[in-house]
Amino acid sequence: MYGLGVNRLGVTNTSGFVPSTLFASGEEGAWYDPSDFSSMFQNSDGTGAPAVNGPIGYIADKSGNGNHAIQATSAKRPTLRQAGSLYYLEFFGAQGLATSAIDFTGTNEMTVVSGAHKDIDATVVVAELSPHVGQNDGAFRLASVVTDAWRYTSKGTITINSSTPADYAPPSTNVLTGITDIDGDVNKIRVDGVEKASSTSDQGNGPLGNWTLNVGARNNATSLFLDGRIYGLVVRGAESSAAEIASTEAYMAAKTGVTL
Amino acid sequence: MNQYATIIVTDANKTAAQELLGETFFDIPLKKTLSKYWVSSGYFLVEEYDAIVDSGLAFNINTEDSYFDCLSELNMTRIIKDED
Repeated sequence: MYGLGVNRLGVTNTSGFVPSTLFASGEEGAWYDPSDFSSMFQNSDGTGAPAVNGPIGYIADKSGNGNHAIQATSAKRPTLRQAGSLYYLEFFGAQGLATSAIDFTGTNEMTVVSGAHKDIDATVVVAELSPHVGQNDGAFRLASVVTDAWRYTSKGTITINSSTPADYAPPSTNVLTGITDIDGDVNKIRVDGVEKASSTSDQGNGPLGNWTLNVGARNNATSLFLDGRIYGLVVRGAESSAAEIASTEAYMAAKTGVTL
Repeated sequence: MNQYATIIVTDANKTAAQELLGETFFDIPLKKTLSKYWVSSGYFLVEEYDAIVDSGLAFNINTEDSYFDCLSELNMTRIIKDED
């Protein structure tokens, strides 16, 4: 038994919601689940059974889109950890994963949900589409920023940020949600199921881009390294409905050990 | 097999160390006073770890402490580019 209605394969929670349903209409995106051992490997070529306290060089995309995240450089692979019934990838300041380019050019909308933990107060990446959100059109970044805040950045051709109040001094474990609609000038960040900041400023022109998705650091682990944990990540090339957001946040909260 | 380690090389040895393991290793800059160093920290494959140990190129190898504890012990700090 694993408690909280979460099983080791990460297939169900108490609500019965499964994030793969978010992609049932062909939405582009990715879903990473460190509690599902069958979705991970030690090596980036998909070999080596995962082990708690061992490196993870490959985590499969469970959305059905095939956007698997890997790290070819051994020393840059995060570590799989277990804390009671919870599982997470630990990034300790020099690790990161990245996908091949994901083609989001068919949409202006994005919803990103992650269970994340930060151990230091710094500007670091939880997830970033493109090598650098400030330098590339059609991108986003979900990040920790100084001082004691989380931030969601999205960009058509103009960069727009929504930063939370300074209420999240490390160590801080939260369910983070970023929402983008470039055409509708929507940029929002939610923390633990509550909207904390938003902007309706012009994001310029869409669509989103055909970029790599970086997890735990910028640009395939070259900078802005997360010193913390990722319990799960759902990236969906659509603006999720209120009900979909609530279900995804509840799912992620169970995976993260956060009470909404 | 993997070996956890934080391995630091001097700026002078960076190129040789990258030629040994690959250019995606030792690409994180550190500084201590006026000197520059480069680090990789995490799970090395044992053959990679053995190669860098045997090469004599490493300035410091630490298999016990966390990344940040290791840097603190050596009075080294990360060089963080001014980027957002």
